[in-house]
Amino acid sequence: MNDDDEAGQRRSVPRRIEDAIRKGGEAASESLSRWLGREARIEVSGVRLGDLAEAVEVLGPGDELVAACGMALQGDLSGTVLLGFGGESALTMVDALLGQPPGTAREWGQLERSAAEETTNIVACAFVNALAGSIEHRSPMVPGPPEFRLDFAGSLLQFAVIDQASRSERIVLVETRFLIEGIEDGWSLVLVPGAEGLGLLGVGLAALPEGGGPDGGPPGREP
Amino acid sequence: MSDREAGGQPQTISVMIGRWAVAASPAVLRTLLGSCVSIVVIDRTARIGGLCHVVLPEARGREDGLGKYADTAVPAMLSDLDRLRGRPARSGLVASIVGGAAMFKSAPGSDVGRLNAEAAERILEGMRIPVFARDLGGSSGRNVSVDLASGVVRVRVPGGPTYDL
Repeated sequence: MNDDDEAGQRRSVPRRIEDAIRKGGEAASESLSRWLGREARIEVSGVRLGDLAEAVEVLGPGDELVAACGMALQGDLSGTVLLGFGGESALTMVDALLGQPPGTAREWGQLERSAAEETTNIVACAFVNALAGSIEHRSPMVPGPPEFRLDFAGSLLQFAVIDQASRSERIVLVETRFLIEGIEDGWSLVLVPGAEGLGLLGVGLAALPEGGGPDGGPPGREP
Repeated sequence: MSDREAGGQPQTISVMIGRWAVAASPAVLRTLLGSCVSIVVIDRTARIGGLCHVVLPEARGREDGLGKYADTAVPAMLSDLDRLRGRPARSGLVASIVGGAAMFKSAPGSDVGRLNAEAAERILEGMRIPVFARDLGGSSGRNVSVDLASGVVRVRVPGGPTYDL
């Protein structure tokens, strides 16, 4: 989790936090496998540090329409979890859950949205509970109800990063990618800690490069 | 910034989160919004305008990017607009305010869109720039573009209609 990346920068986190995030991924993988009835693995790509413009594109190009569920976290690790169901295979999950042939579900109706929300509930809660069990915290981490949105990828991320953006120009988030039997592309879970939650991950804002620093070049102006 | 791209299409300038841009006809300014708010200021006679994409209402002394905050982004954008117009006057300017969605009801900060919109209104009122159109709130993102040749502000919502303000 410590390597640099072309877009953004992998953030070094303490080993115990790295282990806790990995355990979160393992627990979420087990839960997702049981829920979908097929092999599923969630790989934690790393903790990313990037500027605002980079952060809002982690679910895909900003104006790409994505199906995603958001879940608020309250407690010591406050923040937002986003589970994006991207790509052509987005509705394959619904078919798998309902035991129907692939291609049966064609649009995000009430049933499909409900399935996406329940999947998010299961995956995100498993991830967060395992994380909470591995790191010291004072108050419980309480997930809110998942909410489905079919929206621009950039708009969804904008909302998730607001709390951090209120304190720093740089944004820290935890990225994962999904490897699911029969589903080829596009699922990802992004954990965006709130400003208060960063300390728990060992990446307090005091350690981040201070504000300023936008490059000033196009697109858009910032001296 | 007023050149046409190859093929005769107006140049489109994408304004990233926490930034602003000013340009002259025939350019098009565009941005993508969630809970952020875009403040568009146009001089329709001169066919010159600016768009800022603000994240939060007030800087409160923070200096980590003028374009992030409504109360610092608008004056900075207007300063650039004054230079482009060649005069530091507010006459002839009109504004529109777009965005400020609450994407997830249960999430912390779900009120920030409304606060951004209120800050934009307050700042424009203080500068005596009339607001001729608003498209605010809701729970969807918005893709906003401003055609400086016509002065039309166009909004596209995901899975929904495209409409002019």
